[in-house]
Amino acid sequence: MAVIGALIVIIVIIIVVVGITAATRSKQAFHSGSGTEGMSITRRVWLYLISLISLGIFAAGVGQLLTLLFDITIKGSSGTQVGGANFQTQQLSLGLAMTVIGGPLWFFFWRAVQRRVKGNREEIGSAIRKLFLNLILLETAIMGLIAASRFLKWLLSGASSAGFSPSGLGIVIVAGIIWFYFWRVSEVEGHPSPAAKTLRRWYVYILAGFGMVWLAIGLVQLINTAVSNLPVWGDMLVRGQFWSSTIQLNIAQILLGAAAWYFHWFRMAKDDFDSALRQVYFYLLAIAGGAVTALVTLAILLFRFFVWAFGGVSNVVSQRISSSPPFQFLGWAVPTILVGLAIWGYHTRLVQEEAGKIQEKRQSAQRVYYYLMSFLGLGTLAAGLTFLFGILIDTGSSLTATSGWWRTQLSLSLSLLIIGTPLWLYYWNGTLKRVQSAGINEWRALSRRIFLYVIIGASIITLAADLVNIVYQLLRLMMQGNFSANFLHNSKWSLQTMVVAAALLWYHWLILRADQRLGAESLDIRRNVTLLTGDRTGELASRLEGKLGIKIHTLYQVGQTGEPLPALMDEEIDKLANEIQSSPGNKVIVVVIGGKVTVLPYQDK
Amino acid sequence: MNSSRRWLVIFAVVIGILVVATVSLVVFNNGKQITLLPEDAPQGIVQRYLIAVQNKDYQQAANYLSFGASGPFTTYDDWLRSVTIMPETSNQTTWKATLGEVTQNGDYATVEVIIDTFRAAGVFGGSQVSQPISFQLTKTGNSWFITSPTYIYWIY
Repeated sequence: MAVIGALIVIIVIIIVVVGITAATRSKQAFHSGSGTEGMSITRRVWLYLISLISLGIFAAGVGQLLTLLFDITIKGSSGTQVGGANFQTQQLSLGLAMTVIGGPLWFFFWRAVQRRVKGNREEIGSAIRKLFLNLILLETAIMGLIAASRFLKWLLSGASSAGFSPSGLGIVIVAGIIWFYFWRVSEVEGHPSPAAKTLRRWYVYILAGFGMVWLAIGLVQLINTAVSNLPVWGDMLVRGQFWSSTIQLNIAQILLGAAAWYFHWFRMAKDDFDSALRQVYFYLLAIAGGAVTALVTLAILLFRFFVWAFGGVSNVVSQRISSSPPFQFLGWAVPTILVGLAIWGYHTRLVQEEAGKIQEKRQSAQRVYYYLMSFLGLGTLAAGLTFLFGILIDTGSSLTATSGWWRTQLSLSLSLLIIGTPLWLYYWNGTLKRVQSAGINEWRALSRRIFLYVIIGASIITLAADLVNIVYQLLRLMMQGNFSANFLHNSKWSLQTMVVAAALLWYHWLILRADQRLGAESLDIRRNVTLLTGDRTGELASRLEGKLGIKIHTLYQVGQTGEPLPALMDEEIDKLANEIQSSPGNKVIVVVIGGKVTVLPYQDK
Repeated sequence: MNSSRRWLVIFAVVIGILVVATVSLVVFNNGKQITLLPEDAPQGIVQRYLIAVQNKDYQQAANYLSFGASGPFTTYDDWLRSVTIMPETSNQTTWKATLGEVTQNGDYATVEVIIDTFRAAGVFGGSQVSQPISFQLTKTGNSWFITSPTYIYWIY
C-alpha cells in the first residue's frame, strides 16, 4: 500500500510539473509569435525568478547526488560507517527528488526565456536579464572558489580519504558547470545596453577585487608562516611542522586568487576605460586599500621599533609583543607593507596611463580618494599630536612617577606623526591644488562638504565633551577645597584632545566659511546645456564639462562650418562657464559660429 | 543546434549518467553489512556503541560507557533518562558516523568520529550538518570504555 501511495504522489507531482511547463509553452506559442517581441517587466521578472529558483533546486539536487557518489567512491568509508545505508537512502531520495523536479522545471523555463531573447537586442540588454545572469555568475564564482580552495588544500595535504569532503568537490563541480554555462551565454550574446554593461562590470570588478585580496592575504600569510618557522627565533620550546594546513590553504588561496584576478582583471576588464566603476575600483579599493594597508602596518612597525629602541615594555600592548620573539612580527609586517605598496603602486601607475582616455569619469572617484586619504592622514596626525601633548602634560605635572613611563606613549606618538604628517600634507596639498584649478565644482563637491562637516562636527563634539569634563573637575575640586594635581590627572585626556580639536576646528572653520562666501553652498541650479559646434574633437565640450561638472549634449553642425574656433585660454573657459551659470532659466544652448562662442538661454514652448 | 543548446544537452546527458551511477552504487551498497572492527580496539568499541545507539538498543550501548562518580552519570538509569528525554525528536533525524583518527596512549585513547546529520529541511534548508566528535576511552582490565561524551546530543 505504501508503495502504491508513493507512486500516486509521484504521478501527481509529475502531472503538476508537466502541466506548468505545458501551460508556459502554450502561452508562449499564443503570445510570442516569432519569439522576437519583448516581454513585460512583470513577465520578465516572473520568468527569471522562477528560472532562478528552479535552477537552485536543480543544482542542490545534483550537488546531493555528487556528494553521495564521492562519499561512496572516493571517501570509501562505507564499510565501517555506522548508519551509512539509511543516510545514503535519505540523501539519494532528496537528491533525486530535487533533480527530477528542479531539472525539467528549470529547463523549460530557461528555454522559454531563451526563445524570447533570441535575436532580440532589447531583451538581451534588459537589466533584469543581466541582473539574473551576473547574480548567478557572482554567486557560483565565489562559492566555487571557496570550495575549490578547500579541495586544493586537501590535494596538497596528501589526499587522504579521511580528510576528503565529498560535498566540497560536489560544490566545485556544480558551481563550475553553472558558472561556465552562464558565462558563455552572457559573453556570446554580448552587452548591448548601458545597464547590461554596468551589471557586468559589477561582477567583473567584485571578482577582480576578491581575487586580488585573496592573493595578497595568501602571500602575506605564507611568508609569515615561513618566517616564523625559521630556526632563528631563539629558544622555542615547540615548533610546528612547516607543511601545515595553514600553508596548504595559503598556497591554494594564492593559486586560485591569482587565477581569479588574472581572468577578471586582465581578460574581462581589459580596455574597459569608459567606466566609472573602474575608477571606483581603482581609487577606493585598490589604491586606497593598498595605501591604508601599507601605512597602518608601517605605523605598527614604527611603533614597535621605537618601543624596542627606547628599551621599554611598559603596557598591555607591548607586553603582547614580547610574547613572541622580538622582530618576529616583521614576518607579517614587511610582506604586508610590500604587498600593500605593490597594489598601491601598480594601480596608481595604471590610473596615470589611462588618465588621458577617461578624464571626466576619473574626477569624482579621484576626488573622493584624495579626501579619504587626507582624512586618514589628518586623523593619524591628530592622534599623534594628542599623545605628544599627553607626554608634555605628564612631564610638566610629574603625574607619572615610574621611570621610562614615556616610552610607549612617545613611540606611539612618533610613529603616528611620521605616518600621518606626510600623508596629510601630500593629499591635502593635492586637494588645495585641485580647488585652485577647478573652481566652483570642487568647492561644491559632496566629498569636500562631507570632509569639512565631519571634521568640524567631530571637533565641536570633542571640544564640548572636553570642556564639560574640565569644568566639572574644576567645580568639584573647588567645592571640595582640594585643588591639587588631581585636576591635571583627571583632566589630562580632555586637555590634550582639546588642544588638537581646537586647532582642527579653527582651520577647517576658516575653509568652510571661505567656501560659503564663494557660493559653494548656494542652491545649485542644474543646467541643461547643449553645444552646437563644427569641431568634432570634443575639446571644448570636455573643458566646459570639467568646469561646470555636468554632462553637455553636443550637436555637430553639418555642411559649411565656417571659420574654426581658436583654442581658448583657461580664463576664457572660466568666463564662458560663469556666463552659462549666471544665465536665466536652466536651459542654455552654446553656439560656435564663425570663430565666436555665443551663449543663448532658451525655454520650451 | 546552437552553442548554448549543445551545452545543455551535454549537461543533461552527464546528469543522466550521474543519476544512474549514484542509484546503482546506493543500491549495491545497501546490501552490504557493516564490517565490525576488533572489539579489543578503542575504535571497535566506539563503532559498537554507535551501532547500539542507532538501533536504539540503549542497554547494549550503556555496556560501552564508563559510569562513575567523576562522570555526569553514575548509573545506567541516569543516563537512560537523558537519552529518552525527547524520543520523538530523535526520530526526525538520520545520521551516520564515519571513523577518523585514532590516538592511543597506554590505557587512554581518543577516537575521532565525524557525525553527519541529515535533516530533510526542504529545498532551501541545509540538509546535512557535519560535526566532529572526539570520543575519550579508558582501558579497564582488557576492555575499553567510553568516558566522554556520554550525552548523545547529535540525535536531536
